[in-house]
Amino acid sequence: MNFSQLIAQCQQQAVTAQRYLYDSYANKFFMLCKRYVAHASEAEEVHHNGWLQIFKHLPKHQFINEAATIAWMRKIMIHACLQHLRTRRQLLMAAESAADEVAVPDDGLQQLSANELLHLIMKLPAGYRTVFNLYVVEAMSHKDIAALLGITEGTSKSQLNKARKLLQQWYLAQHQINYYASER
Amino acid sequence: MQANDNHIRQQLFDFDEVSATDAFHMQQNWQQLEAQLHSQKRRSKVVPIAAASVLLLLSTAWLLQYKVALEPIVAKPMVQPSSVSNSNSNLTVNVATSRQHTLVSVAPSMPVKTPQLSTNNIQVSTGNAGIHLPQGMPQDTTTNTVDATTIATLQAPIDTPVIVANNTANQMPKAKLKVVHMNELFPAQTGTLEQATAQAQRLSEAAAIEAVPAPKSKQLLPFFYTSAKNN
Repeated sequence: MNFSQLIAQCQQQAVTAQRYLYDSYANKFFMLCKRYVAHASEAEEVHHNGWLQIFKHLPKHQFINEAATIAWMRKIMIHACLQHLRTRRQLLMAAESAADEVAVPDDGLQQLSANELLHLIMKLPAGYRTVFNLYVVEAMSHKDIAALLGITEGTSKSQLNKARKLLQQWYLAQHQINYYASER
Repeated sequence: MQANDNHIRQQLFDFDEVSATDAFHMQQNWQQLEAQLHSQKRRSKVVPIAAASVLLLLSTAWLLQYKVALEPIVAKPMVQPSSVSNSNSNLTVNVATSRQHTLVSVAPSMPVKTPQLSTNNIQVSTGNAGIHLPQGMPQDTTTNTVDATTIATLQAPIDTPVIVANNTANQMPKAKLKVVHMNELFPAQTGTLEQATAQAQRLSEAAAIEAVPAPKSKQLLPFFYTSAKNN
């Protein structure tokens, strides 16, 4: 059964197909939720709600190709995360002017693995983390982020720069600890 | 910085390495998700069925109402005996025939001065001079010429209670009333007035109102009155 057939079965609310789709993408979407929500139990809740939305709206989804459908499901998950953060009032950001771009050494974060990066990102405050995720991972523009979060483009840029600074500090601190540990 | 972003994106965009605990939790979450999806599916099936049932009930109720409204048009046997109830000086008859109008024939067995036939909205007085029908009703030609048997006829709407009122104070109408259809009285609508009257009388003889004398006022006098008179 190819992907289009799987989606067609899911649209007819076939439980087996739904289970297969869930098993195929649950891990990926759960890690996405963790990146936005950070707290594991809350991420589980958001992940669950996101899947409910996916299966609810799937019958009305017009299948074009696999990539478009996955992007559509991913978008639903991100919206579920943002909705959760909004209800927890974690996306309240004061309007700020755009800060200067922070130069992060190219040989810095590139050396970190996915797990290490994830743990650093999860430590960021919700506002920084959300903008960083949307800009860096989802490759959205500041204009789109501003429209999505209801903030100004300046605020979005400022939040991103602050996130970069924090990540850089944490990375350097971690790197130095590791460096001194290896020297001893 | 661009290289950093690209690296982070590549690392995290499709990152799906979950811990064993998270994997276990997600399997548990599927059970809940499946239950919720099934309940939604059941609800989505139940709602149309419930809606259809309600519609069916409403349409049945509407049809029943419609049927009730149509009932007078549906043919029934021509003559239905009426139900009679007697209260004080009024005799109430429920006219129940198949047609829009029926003819009620009342024949007291004893002379009644001014027997009256009436429905809720229609009242007809009969006397020696004949019957007075309300305005708008077809005039009936039956007349009362016999002292012993007063015949009153009335075209009454179906299922309308017909009240036979007796204006004579010391007489209480009792028991029977004959309800006959117009066609039974006037089979061909061609008979003469005398023929129709004779036929109406004949029909009413079998079942007639028996007006029995009411207790005289003296009998109702208190005990001390008779005692005083004797003294």
